[in-house]
Amino acid sequence: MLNIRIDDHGVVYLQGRFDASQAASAQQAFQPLQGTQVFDCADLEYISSAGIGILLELAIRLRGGGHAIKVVNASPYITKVFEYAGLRQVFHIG
Amino acid sequence: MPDRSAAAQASRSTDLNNEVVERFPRVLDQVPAVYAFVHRFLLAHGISGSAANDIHLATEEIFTNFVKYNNGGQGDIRVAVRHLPTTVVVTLIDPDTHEFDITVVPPLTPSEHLDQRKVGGLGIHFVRKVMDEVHYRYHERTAEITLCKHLESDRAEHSH
Repeated sequence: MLNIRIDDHGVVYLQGRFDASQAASAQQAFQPLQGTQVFDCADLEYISSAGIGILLELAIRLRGGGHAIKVVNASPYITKVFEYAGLRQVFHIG
Repeated sequence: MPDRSAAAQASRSTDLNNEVVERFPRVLDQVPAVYAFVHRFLLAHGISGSAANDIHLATEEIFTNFVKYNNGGQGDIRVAVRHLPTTVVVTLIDPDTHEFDITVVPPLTPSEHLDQRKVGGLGIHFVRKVMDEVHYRYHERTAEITLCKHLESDRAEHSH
């Protein structure tokens, strides 16, 4: 199960497992997002290529307006998956 | 020359306590059920952390590939998990599919530049990254993909 929460400052909090079963609902939840987006992944336990694909799709859309995705507080494992996907720099992961 | 791969060892194993098998309908909604099934097995065998995450990731990628690229296939997808002394072996079987050998797909080098990226194509790349062995067999419309994770290689990775 993946929980998505957006706070008053527009920070997107991902909690749980971002797998293929959650991709469609996440895609819908991200649809209204505009501008540079910070994704707090402190409570993201797992992500697969399906989740990465949704984030990448959003990043490509935002880039059209000169904006980006920034991923913060990702665990070492989540960071490793982003790195395998070649997205560490794209998502500004420190 | 005897085949000493983990997959070959697995096929010779007869200890049924070290193997579980389950069938799953071919829909993406089953991904959490596949995860729960593999998770229970790994937990019972004391396997967690990075190795467990790698096994879950590769298993999901193969399961979703079976579902996404073979909508019209008949029959459930079978997932078997086996624990050898130093290896976990996951076998996924689609009983009604076309031939697509993932082991011969050209390697992917994802670009760090967003304007050169397209969505998709990462699943097989992840499987290759996180598993130590990947085997493919196809016979009479049945595809069988075997994923091997050597547990000692994971420990070695973390000792550095």
